[in-house]
Amino acid sequence: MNYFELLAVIVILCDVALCAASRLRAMIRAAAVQGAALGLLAFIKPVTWEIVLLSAATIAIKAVLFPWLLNIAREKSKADEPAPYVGYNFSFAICAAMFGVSVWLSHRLDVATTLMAGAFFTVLAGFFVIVSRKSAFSQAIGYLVLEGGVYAFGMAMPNEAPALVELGLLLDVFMAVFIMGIMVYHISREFEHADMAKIAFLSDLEDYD
Amino acid sequence: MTAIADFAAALLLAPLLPGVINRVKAFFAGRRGQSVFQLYYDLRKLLAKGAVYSSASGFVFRLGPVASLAALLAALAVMPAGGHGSLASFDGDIILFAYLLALSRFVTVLAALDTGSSFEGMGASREVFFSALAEPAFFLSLAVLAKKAGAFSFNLIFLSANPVTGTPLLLVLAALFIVFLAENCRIPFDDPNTHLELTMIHEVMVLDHSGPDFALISYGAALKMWLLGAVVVRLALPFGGGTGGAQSPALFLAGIFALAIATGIVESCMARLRLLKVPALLLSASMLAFAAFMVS
Repeated sequence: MNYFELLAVIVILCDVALCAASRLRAMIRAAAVQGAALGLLAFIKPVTWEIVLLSAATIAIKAVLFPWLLNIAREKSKADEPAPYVGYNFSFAICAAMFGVSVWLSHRLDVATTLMAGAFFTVLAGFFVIVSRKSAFSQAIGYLVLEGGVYAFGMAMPNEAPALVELGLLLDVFMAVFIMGIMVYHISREFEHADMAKIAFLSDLEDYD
Repeated sequence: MTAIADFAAALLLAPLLPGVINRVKAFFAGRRGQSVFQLYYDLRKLLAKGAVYSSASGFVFRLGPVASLAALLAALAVMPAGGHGSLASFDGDIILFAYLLALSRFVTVLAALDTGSSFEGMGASREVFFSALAEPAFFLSLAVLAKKAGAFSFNLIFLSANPVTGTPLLLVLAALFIVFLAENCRIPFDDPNTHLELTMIHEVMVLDHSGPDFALISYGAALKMWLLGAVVVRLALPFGGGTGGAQSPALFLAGIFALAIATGIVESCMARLRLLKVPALLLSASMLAFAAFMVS
C-alpha cells in the first residue's frame, strides 16, 4: 500500500468531514487530523533534517497548538454555532463538485497525483467553509485549512517546494495572530457572540442584533 | 457445478446471518441470546400458518413478498456469492444486480402502500428516501470496481485477481459497508428490533404481512444481507481467478460470518442515528466512493 496516497486521502476526507460538520468541536478535530496527516506528508521528499524539522513543526502547530487554542476559545465563548448559509447535506454535493474540479485542475497541471488533487480540494474546502459559515471560529478553521491546502500544494510540487513551504509557514504565523485576535475579542467580551452575520454594522450607528 | 453449490449454500445458510448478529449482540449485552438457528424455526412456524389479508388490500399486497423474493433470487444468480463464479453472467450484470435489489424494494414499498395504512406509507416514504441516498454510494462503488477491472460483470470483476487495491479499496469497502448496513436496515440507520413508530423504517412496511408472506419477507431480508455481504467479502478477501489466491468456499464463508460478527459489534457499540443525521452518513458513503473513483 502506498502510504502517501493514504495520507493524501486522509487529507481529502478531513476536508469532507470539515465541510459537513455541524459542531465546532468536530471541525477542530478534522482540522487537527488533517494537520497531522500534512505533517507526515513532508516525508514524501528525501529525508533530511529540514524535512524532519518541517514535519515536526507542522504537526506541533497544526495538530496540537491550533486545535488547543481553538478549543480554549470555543469553551470561552458561550454562543452556539449559528446555522450556516449552506445546509450540511447540500455541502456534501458541493464537496463532490469541488473535488471533481480539483481532480480536473490537477490533470490540467500534469501533476495528476492524489496529493495535488487533495491540495486543490483543501484550498477550495477552506474557502467554502469561510464563505458558508457564519461564526468567526468556523471561518478561522476554514482559513487554517486553506493554508493547509497551500502547504499540501508545496508538497505535491516536485521541485519548487521551498518557497511555497515558506509561504505556507508565513500564513501559519498569520493564522496564529488571527486566532489570538479572536481570543482577545472574547476575553474582552467586546461582543457576546462571534456570529459574523450579525457583526455587520458598526455598533455606534445601528443595533447589530 | 460449483456455482450451483454456491447458490444452494447461499439459499441454505443465509438465515444464519441474522442469527449470528443476534448472538453477537446478546454476547455484548451479557445475555445468552436466542439460538443461531432462530430464523429457521421462525420460518418453519410462519410457513405453517395461514395468511390474513385485509379487505382494503388488493393483489399488489399479495404479490409484494413473492415478487420481492423472486427479484432477490435473480440477483443471487448473477452475484458470485460464494467462493466461485456466479450462476449466470453477462456484460452489464452489475447494473441488473443493483436494479433487481431496487425492484425488490419497489414491490415491498408498493405492497406497503397497498395496505392503505398511513403508518406504512410513512415507512415506505422513509425507505425510499434513504435508499435513494444509498444508491449513488452503491453505484459509485460498483463504478470503481468496473473501472479497475474493465468489465461490467461481477464474474469478470471478482475473478480477476484483486480488482481494487490500496487506498481505493479501503474507501470502497467503507462505502460498501455503510451501504450494507443501510440496505439491510441495521443499526446506525434502522433498528431491526424496535417497533417504535417514530424510529422504524423497514419494519413498518412489513407490519401487515402475516404467515407465509412474512416468512418470504424475513427470508428475503436474510438473502439480501447475504448478497450485499458477498460484495463486501469478495472485495475484501484475496480471492483470485487465474493468478494467486484460492477460490475457496471456506474463505468466503469465514468472510461473510466475520462480516455478520462485525455488524453485530457495530450494533452493540452504536446507537441508532437521529433520523436527520442518516442522510449525512449516506452522503458521506457516496463521497467515499466518489473519492475512490477519482483516486483509482
